[in-house]
Amino acid sequence: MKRSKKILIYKLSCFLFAIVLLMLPQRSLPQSDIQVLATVLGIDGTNGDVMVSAQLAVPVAQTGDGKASTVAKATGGSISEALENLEIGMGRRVNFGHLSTVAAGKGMLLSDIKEFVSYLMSSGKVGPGAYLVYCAQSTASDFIEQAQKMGESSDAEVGNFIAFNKSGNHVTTATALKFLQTLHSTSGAACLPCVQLEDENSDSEQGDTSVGEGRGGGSDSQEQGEENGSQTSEKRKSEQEGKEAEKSGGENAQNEEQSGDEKESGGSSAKNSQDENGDSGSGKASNGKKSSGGNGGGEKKKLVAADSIAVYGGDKEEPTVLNTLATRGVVWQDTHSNYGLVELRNVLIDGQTVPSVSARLAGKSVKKSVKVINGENVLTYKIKVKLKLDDSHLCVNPDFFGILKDKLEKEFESVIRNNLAFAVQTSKETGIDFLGIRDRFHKFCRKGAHNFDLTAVVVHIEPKVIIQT
Amino acid sequence: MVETEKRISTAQLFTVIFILGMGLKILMLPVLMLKVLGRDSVLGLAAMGVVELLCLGAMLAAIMLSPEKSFYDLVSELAGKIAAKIIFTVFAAFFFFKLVLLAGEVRVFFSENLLQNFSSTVYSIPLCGLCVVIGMGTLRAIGRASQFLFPFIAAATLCLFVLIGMGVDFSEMFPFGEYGIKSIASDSFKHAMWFGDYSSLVVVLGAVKRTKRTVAAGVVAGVLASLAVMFYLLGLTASFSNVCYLIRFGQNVTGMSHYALGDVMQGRLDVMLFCLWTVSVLVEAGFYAFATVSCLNNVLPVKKEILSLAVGVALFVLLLLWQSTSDLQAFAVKYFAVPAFIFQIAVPVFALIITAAARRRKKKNLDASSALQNAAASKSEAAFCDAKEKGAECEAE
Repeated sequence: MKRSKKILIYKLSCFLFAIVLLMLPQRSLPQSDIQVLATVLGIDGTNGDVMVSAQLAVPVAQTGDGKASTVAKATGGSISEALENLEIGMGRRVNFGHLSTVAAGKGMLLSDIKEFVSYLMSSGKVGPGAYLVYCAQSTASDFIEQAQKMGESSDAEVGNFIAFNKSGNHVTTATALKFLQTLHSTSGAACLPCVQLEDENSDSEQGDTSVGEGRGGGSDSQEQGEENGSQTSEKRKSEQEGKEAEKSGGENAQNEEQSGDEKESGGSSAKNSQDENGDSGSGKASNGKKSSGGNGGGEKKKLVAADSIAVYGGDKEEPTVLNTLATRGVVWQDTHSNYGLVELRNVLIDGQTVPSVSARLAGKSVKKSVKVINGENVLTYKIKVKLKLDDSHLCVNPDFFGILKDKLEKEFESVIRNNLAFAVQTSKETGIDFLGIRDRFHKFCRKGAHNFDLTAVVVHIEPKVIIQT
Repeated sequence: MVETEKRISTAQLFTVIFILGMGLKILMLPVLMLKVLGRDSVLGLAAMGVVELLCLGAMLAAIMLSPEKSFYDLVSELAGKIAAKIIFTVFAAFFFFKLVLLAGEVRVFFSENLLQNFSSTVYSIPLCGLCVVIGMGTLRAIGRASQFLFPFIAAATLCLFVLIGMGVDFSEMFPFGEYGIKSIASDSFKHAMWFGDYSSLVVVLGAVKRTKRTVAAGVVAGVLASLAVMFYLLGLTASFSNVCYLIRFGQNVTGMSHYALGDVMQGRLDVMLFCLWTVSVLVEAGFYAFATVSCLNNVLPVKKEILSLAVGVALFVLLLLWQSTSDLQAFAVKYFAVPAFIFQIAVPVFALIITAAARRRKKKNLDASSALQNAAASKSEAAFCDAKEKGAECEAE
């Protein structure tokens, strides 16, 4: 090619580039002045009367630190109309690109949540990885409003909280995609973690009252009872002294729930009654720190999450909220919850009572095998858990540690077995297959999937706990 | 005879095959097949992949057999110039339609993931410009470009593999076989337009520096590309099998990897990776433009630069007129399934036959010429002997 031709092509390219630049979208205002970023979205009501609330980060280009946070609400006949009204009310386009959490209000019906989430995902407003939560005690609107008031700089706190639970806490989380995937499976059931805001004071009071009930001991129930008493009083004293106030409050609240749950479950786990307190133990502690009183002298609020889950499915339109024990069973078989703290209380070892042993999950593998044996559908869970002891001071004496290790492994295995057995029992009683048992048979054992009966499934649980030294 | 400096090396052939095998199929095909066949799309894709690999095998054999002449020269020698022109017109039309389909899908990918507020017409211009530039270039230039870009593409693909592998629950892809073999076969067949990318290797026939490893490298590249496509489809199936209605065109792979990241707080690492990965699709688009121009160049007595510009303009106009990629895809499924399937199989077989015949002919010619040479040599030898004998006799006298 001649030089003159090359120059001609170059000029032509420059001309084309100029045209491309001219055709780029023209805007009179910068992006930050015409849009707001939604970080959390709450949905209440039913189709025909939908209310959406969004926690919004409003970029302000000219003043202050460049951002402000607010909660906006709007209603409409459908979710699309409500979201449209939200934008009209704000006078700005709402950008959902950073939407991390969608909260469903208390009592939201199955058909509604299915439609809402499907709409949000198929319209591209919500990414498949966005988290879904269920507000167990309030409307989503109230929940978001309260969460917003927790602090001036808390524009993504709820989102961060759930994200942390996913990566650093032994709890169950549900993404929008996972929720719809499991809801549309042959099991037809899906779980949502519950969140709520509680007064910090009321929570700790609850904790105080529950101390004596929830604590257990070693495997020997009689000794355990005696131990309970002493440990309870000791603990009370320590709590009166105000040591680890926030964390104790969280744990105690959970202990109370667990003690209730154990009664419900028929007491098999009450005999063991170790308090496996991984999920809310760390979760609540971290959120206690997040709580803020800087909202004009109002009540101190804190986020409480994930010690219960709401399940949709079965014949019911309304969600069923599982208790703590069943929730833990669900979490143990959840292959995605691989991190967090778990705890045992008052373990009797070699005549010595260890009041509290904390361990951190270092790994978890869950294998679920299904087969038909003698005409019966049999599901076997093989759960292998690796734990690292947080309380390393217990290991000073090597002889004692050897005994402690074996004992703790057995105790943790017992906890896993009881929790999961209780979850299975709850699933059978409620008729909601939230553990996905039917789907498992459908996928891997066609023979068992024919004439499937959830109540007739035999479940074997084989936990294996390894405490890493 | 193809000049030595215009030929591509085995390594360059490897990268070209890998890019051809992966680009178009990953963009939209998994979504299309998943929507039609659900979980069984994996089986359909696997079957079509096997057919495609067989076609690649035939093309590689043709590459190895071909004498150092362009495919057009071989066809015109064996079938005549008119037949060769007709055949290459068909080739050009087919490659151009592939280019249109690919460009349409690239447009959707960008409009859904990266440039949502821009008019698709705007970024069709640089894409068409790229096709023009590559179209007027040489095969060697494409080979070198692919070789240079391959490490980035491979690294991005590998990272996406890891992300998807870590975040997706692959047990969700079961159970298979819900649609039945008949449905799987017929619905996979309808998407034949997205397969048969190795047919475009006809333009490299006679232009490869062959070594002992050429065939092995080509097969490995093809298998790797097929495995990559299969892996993406498995990830997509595992992510969206029960909720196919949620998948949007253009967001299939990014949606899956976004989900696989597992945490919306981690940002969009996947988009960064896709920006690198998309380069492979652009190279493939360029290769199709080059193939179209090369074929047309044999048919029309017009300069390559003008042909390339014409192809770019035609592409732009078609994209402008055919704004909906879904319509384009529906057109490909409805009207191009049978021709595409036939083309996919016929071209490698035809190439193999032509090259084998050309080789045989060459061998015959060689034999004939060597026989002539031998005869001439023996004649001259005899004459020399005669002369020698005569010389001896004379000496004796």
